[in-house]
Amino acid sequence: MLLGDVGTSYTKILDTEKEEYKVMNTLDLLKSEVRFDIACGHNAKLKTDRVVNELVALEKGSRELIGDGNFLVVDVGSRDIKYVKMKGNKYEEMDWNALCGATLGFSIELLENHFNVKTSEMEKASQSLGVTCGVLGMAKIFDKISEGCEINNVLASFVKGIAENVYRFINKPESFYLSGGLCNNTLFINSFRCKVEPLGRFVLLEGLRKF
Amino acid sequence: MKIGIVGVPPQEILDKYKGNDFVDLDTLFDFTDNSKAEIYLPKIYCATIKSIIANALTIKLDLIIFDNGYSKCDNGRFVSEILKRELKVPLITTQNNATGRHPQTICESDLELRKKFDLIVDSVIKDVDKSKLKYVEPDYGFWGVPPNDFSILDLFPKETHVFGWARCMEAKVPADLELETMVKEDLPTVFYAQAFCSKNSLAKYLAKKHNGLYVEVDDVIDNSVKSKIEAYLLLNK
Repeated sequence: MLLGDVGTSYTKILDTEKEEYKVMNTLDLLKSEVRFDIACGHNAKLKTDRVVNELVALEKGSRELIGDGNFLVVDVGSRDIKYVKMKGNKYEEMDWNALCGATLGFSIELLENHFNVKTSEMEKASQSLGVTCGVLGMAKIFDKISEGCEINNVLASFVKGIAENVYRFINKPESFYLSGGLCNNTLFINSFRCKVEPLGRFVLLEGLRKF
Repeated sequence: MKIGIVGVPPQEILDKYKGNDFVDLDTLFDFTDNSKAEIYLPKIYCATIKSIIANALTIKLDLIIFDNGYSKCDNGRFVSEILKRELKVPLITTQNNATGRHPQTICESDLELRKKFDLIVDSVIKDVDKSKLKYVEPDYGFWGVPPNDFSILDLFPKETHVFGWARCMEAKVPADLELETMVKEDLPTVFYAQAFCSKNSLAKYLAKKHNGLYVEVDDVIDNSVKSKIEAYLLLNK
């Protein structure tokens, strides 16, 4: 079976027969003939006849990877943040911010490309840049740079600001599991003021296996 | 006479005009153009209130009965004043303080949720035959006012009970805060409020207190809110 997590920027693919995972640019995928047996994600309906709700896939995948039914997992995507909290295998809480203030992963990538840097290689910032959303945050970055602040410090503060937003969005827990491409960004993970356990970017695909 | 009504006016006032052609101005009809309301209201405003103004400006009315007190909302109070000043249509304002709750048979019936709401809204202006309605054991709850965009209701199965102000509408007690805040313990419930409506405070509070899902929708429901509700229903299956 071919499973797909068709996100806004990237598509994560699992071929269950070969047990092969890969990531491709969603714009390239949309131009291709690839069709999935089952898929989730913002653009899933364009590439499959069987769409699974992303948050449900996140819950099922997390449960499989974590190994029990007590967890808080947050998926930080290009344009949205969503979380689900389970207690004793039962639903406890969820939210999904897909519009205002949510173009987060996308903003980080845009800035990395613009400044030709890798935020994951930067040192954690002590101060966070007050970021209400990715786009507004970017305006602040350019203001800080024009004031003479060092680019890497400003970008690290921006990433910390995003981490603070996520932390507040999930109601300031003591620890949580992280899903999504930002699991590979150590600066992002270290910018949280609580324990973060990264599950990787294929959590939703693990969830799709269950359908 | 064609009479526009807003909210749930007292029964004695409606009875006085019985036999006339009533139209519920809170409704988003196919012809309702909410942008028309922007000559009086800010662009960013409660979609239901915009519909009231847009409908009042579009439909040729002989009278408006506007229940505009705490049985409706503060926005309604201000908007009734605007309509009174700007339209050449007589406007009666009322405050419905009825306390005798009528049975809430539609809210707990086995009708599809959209049909429940159609009937609840109809029940304000005409007699509705509830004799054939059957009770359904609920799997979910929907709390709130009749949404501006009824398509949100299609996301729910028929095993959904109605709570909040919509329930007060059927019970004919629109100012009954106790009934408005009543929910079923442990029943997964979506707490809905129209964006820019003061009922958001109740929706958010009750959702937190009852492990429900709070959703705020402006105008027309988008895919993000649809997915969020779908996930909540599936995770609570």
